[in-house]
Amino acid sequence: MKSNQELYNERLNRLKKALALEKTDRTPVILMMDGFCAKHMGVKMSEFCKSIKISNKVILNSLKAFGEVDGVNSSYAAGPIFPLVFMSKVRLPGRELPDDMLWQLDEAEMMTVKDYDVILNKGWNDFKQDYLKNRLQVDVDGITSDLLYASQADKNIEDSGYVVYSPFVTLTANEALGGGRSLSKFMMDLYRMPDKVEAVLQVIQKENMDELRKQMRTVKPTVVFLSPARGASEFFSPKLWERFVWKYIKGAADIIIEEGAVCDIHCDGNWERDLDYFKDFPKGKIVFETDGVTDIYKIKDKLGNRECIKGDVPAGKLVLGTSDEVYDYASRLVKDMGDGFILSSGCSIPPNAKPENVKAMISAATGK
Amino acid sequence: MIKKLTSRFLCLLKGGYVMSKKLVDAMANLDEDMVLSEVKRLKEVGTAPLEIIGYLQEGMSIVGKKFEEKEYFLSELIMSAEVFNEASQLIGGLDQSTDSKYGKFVIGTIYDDIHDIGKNIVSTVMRSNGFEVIDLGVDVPTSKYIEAIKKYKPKVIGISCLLTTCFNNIRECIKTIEDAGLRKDLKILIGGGPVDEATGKYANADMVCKDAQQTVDFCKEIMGGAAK
Repeated sequence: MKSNQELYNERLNRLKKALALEKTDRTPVILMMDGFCAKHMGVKMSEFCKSIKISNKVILNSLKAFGEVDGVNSSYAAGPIFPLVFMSKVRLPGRELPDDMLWQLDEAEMMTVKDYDVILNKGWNDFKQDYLKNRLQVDVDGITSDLLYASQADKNIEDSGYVVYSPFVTLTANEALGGGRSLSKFMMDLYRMPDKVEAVLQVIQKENMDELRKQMRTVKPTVVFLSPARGASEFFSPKLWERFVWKYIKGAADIIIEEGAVCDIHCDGNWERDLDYFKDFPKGKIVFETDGVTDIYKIKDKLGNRECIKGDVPAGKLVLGTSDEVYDYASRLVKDMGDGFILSSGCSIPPNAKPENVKAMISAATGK
Repeated sequence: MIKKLTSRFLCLLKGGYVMSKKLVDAMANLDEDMVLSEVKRLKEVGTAPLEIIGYLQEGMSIVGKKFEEKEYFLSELIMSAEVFNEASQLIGGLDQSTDSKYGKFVIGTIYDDIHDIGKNIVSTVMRSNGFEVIDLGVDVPTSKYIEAIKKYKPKVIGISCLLTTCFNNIRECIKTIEDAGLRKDLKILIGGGPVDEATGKYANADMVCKDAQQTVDFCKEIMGGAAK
């Protein structure tokens, strides 16, 4: 029987080979899950969201219950820290929501057009602190203090033999405004005051990237998760997308690669129109993480010889499908995607996914 | 025919006809400043509010076509709906029921779900395409849908949902509407991020719409020429 350390090394090695598009003994399976683990382990969502320590324990137990998987995207629940990255309020179970409901972003126009000038004059970080604490009334100090446990949370997962796929998460600059202004208002700003929005985004990008470099040099992650969130091609005309979305994805990904990590670009929604842009990255340095909306076969066709692909068993299938349907779908992916593929759900495994469906997905890669 | 030509001629004399083409194009091209200035001009020369709205809606139809042809995207749909709303406010003196060509459309986000971006986009795009939209908001209980169906007698209602955890709620809502005998002349469409054909089948919906324009097209098909 292998020790946890041996299992960890084996799984990390398998993952690294897949990232580099090399041949692996089997397709790696990384579970993107948090809220699901609470349901899976019979823990109330309100309890799960109480602290990183608690969610970490629940996620680890859920992982152990599945056994033969390679790792998990994150070692703790993301919901409670959403305001720090999305610049929006979040409703949490046991606080604004009933005890056993999933957290939800409460998007509203919390940032105003006038704030653009404040950001340009004072800088992003100064503005952000004041905005989060005083306007959104977010308990920044509480969340920051809870986050001190994050590295121990990662260690707990690793000590049990599993890989934490992306211990480091960042959002592209456009999403700070898309969240704070609300998506609709942000899109209108792109028409009404494009130059000002661009100037603000450059301020945000510069400060975010300086911080990213600093933190990456401390954490030294293998993979950094970069989310353009609602930056999919289907949302923007090509001109707007190139100027206000792609520019910041490319800028952030280049820095992540420069700092020695692989950049996992979390591509929710349909990106088909712009897949060619991803050819700009060096081979084996990007993961195209898809939620199943972009046709994964088109991703494979355009980018498969350059970039690793991660996905994409649809959330709906994990909830409403049968185990056989999930197994067949995932098996086809394993067979057709070949090397440079990580089997995963499309975006997060939803809380009400059937555990037997998640098992079926895993079996498609492990054969167990 | 003579009456129609006379009306056109009079309109032309007042500067309305020439301006209207400009307004249709400005709306279609999302030229916000031009739309607003043309609406003001038309108003000043005495063009009837409903006629101005008609030009705006004609422009919105072109926006819809451009969206279908992938010349426009969500960003343009949102901008067009905003410009349309601004122009409607400038015209003033209209309520939705007077400028609605197709009749009433009821929409809401299903209970336990507070997401409203998709629902709001569908609402504004539907409104600017000539539908009278009754927006029930987010976290809408089944009883509120039933109340709205009885009160407004819509031909189509839309249920928005962004959480897979709410699929059962949609199913329950549709079943309750059916059990109450309210589904006979009613089409129920559903939409939202994770909602796909399998969800539609599970919830027993009539239609799954992937975006706002698909909703417009489906409703026009069902409600086109319907009495208000």
